[in-house]
Amino acid sequence: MMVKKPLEFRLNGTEVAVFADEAENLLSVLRAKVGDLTPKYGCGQGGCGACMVTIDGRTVLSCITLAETVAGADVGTLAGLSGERLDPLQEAFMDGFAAQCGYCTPGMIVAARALLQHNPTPDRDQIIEAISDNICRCTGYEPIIEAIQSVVAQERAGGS
Amino acid sequence: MPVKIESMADLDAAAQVLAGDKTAQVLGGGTILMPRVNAGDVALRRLLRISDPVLRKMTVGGPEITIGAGVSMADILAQQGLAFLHPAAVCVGGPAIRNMATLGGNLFAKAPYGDLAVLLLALGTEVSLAGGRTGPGAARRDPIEVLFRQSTDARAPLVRAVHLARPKAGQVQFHKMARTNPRGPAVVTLAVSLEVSAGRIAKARIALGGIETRPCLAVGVARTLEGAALSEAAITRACAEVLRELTPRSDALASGWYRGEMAQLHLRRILQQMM
Repeated sequence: MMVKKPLEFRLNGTEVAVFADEAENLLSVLRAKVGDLTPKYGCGQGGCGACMVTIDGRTVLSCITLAETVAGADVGTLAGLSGERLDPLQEAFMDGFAAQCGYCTPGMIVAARALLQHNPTPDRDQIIEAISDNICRCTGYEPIIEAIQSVVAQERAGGS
Repeated sequence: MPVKIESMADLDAAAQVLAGDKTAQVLGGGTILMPRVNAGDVALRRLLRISDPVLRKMTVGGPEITIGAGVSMADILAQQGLAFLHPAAVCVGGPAIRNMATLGGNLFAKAPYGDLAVLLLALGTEVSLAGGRTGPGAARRDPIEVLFRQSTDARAPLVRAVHLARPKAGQVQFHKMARTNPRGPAVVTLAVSLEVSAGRIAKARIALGGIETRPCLAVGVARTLEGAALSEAAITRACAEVLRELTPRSDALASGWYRGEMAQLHLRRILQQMM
């Protein structure tokens, strides 16, 4: 019989309690049990970045994170970035056509926001490094880099 | 049959489980084992989560450095006292992977991964293993080579921590050659440590990754350098020895021939930088 384990954590600031299957990964818990569909299932091997979330502010790949390891932790997803307004990164991705099929976009934005939280003024190389866990097969990356650069410029100028 | 997760507080107890059950593995950051769990690998039945704080402990202030096997690449990169390890630690995946991947996992990662292990091998690192040792022998350490000599199917020991001396400035150089940048699996990884005395190389350790399934030492190449001054002639002799000593493997990333050429090329460049 499949063992179920009680699991409590905070998702985007809200307390969550679920039963996780034995050896279930965090992505599966988020999508199937909590209903947050923003992290995507891509490779299931930690190779594409579509499932990227944050745990206590640090980016991780949720498909290769054992769900029970986040007990008591703060988990952040793309869903937590926008309130009544979209996050500036989401706006920039739309304005700059940085999303085509859109599958990599949640992971890209989570990676970019984590970068900007630690380093508000990254240069181009630091942006490339920050999204190097994330694979995009549509855009060739350039519009994504430019979208992130535009937010850096915007936030440096004091806009939002 | 589903994988069973077991939380264990004690490292030695976990080592005993590992010794007695070939379907058990220690879960560190998950970057190696969780893909196998997701794929339903039936050879994996038990995952041990070890909470022993010794695994996360780092001692970096003095001349001897100790790093617990559970320390992540991001933790190593956050330590300025470990700057000599940063060129290899930063090669491990992107930021998210480095937040997860542990030193212990890197020691057992098969080629083309395990970049940090190559640098640690060149630095003459020692490992302390958990289990089976109590009393006076408990503090015994083994050279890191013991982890790489065994066959990849052999049951892996449980590493408690690695111990290494702080290298002198300019003593060590590391280079990873990959086909995709900034982060890609290694075609070849090289780490060279040269201890120079009175203008001559007193001790050389040359470690390579990607050549064999596990990191390896080019002992013959190092021997050609020892006792000599680091000159173009000495470098040429050392590079010529590479393919006499090693038979690079072929895989989807590179043929053995290409790996051999790249190993010689990058060894030459590293040694020229160290002149």
